[in-house]
Amino acid sequence: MKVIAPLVLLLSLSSVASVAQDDNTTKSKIVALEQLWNQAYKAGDTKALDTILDNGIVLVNDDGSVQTKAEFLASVKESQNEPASQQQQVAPESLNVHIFNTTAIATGVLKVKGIENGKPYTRRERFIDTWVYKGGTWVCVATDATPVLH
Amino acid sequence: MRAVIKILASVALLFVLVTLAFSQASDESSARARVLALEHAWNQAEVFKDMKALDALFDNALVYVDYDGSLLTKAEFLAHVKSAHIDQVITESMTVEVFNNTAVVSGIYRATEIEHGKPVVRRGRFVDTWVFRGSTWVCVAAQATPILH
Repeated sequence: MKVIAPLVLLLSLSSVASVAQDDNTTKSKIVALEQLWNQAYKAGDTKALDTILDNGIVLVNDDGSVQTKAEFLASVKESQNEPASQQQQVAPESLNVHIFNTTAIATGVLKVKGIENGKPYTRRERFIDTWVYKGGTWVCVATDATPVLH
Repeated sequence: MRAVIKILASVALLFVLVTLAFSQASDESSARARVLALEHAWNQAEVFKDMKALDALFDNALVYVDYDGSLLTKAEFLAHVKSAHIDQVITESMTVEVFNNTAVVSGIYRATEIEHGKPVVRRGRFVDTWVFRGSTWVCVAAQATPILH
């Protein structure tokens, strides 16, 4: 009995440590996927984007409009033919990840540049991306961006 | 005899698969209905400043992005609701997508707040993420984006 209690405690601590390590591993994975998204968008790599975005993704743009995955990928492809019209995403200013078991919430601020009505603009947007662990991989099921006005 | 066993095994497998499919569909329908109800409860709780109800809806690590791009913690959001004069919150449309223990709700809201004695109406698109934990759904992330188009 005297031996069992410490063993149980040790197992519990190991389990907690394991969960923490799992969370850290997951956070790193999500950060890598966010960076991949950013790079793929800049390069117009719709194939890479196709793998990380869920087919049913909820996609809300910074003007409140929504796009399906197909519409978003088409717009990325189209912008490759008209580079001047593409909204450029600079690397995220900040990125934080919260893990809730098989759900990960990535939030941060992105600086975007583009041309609107013939005039260049730069603005900051705060985003939340929701990732879900599905079929052995993490996919983004929702993304929303809101202009930072303050 | 072997043929009979094979047929029985196939039928049994088919039965299990169909049962699972119906069960999953039923679970997803249940989840959708539950999350929709929680969204409506959220609106009401904001208008009536039911802080206890709001506290129960959100995870303590809630990530909340308001319509102006500001980032709020759960405590900051609850404090804002407590101090704001929210006249009305209406959900114009809402859909729910369920991914196992995760539900993503998106839609359009219209909120009326009284600021400096005058009503201000804000209409935007929202995306809320809910996670099923223990025996209940909690909101872990919420974001509002003004509709400009």
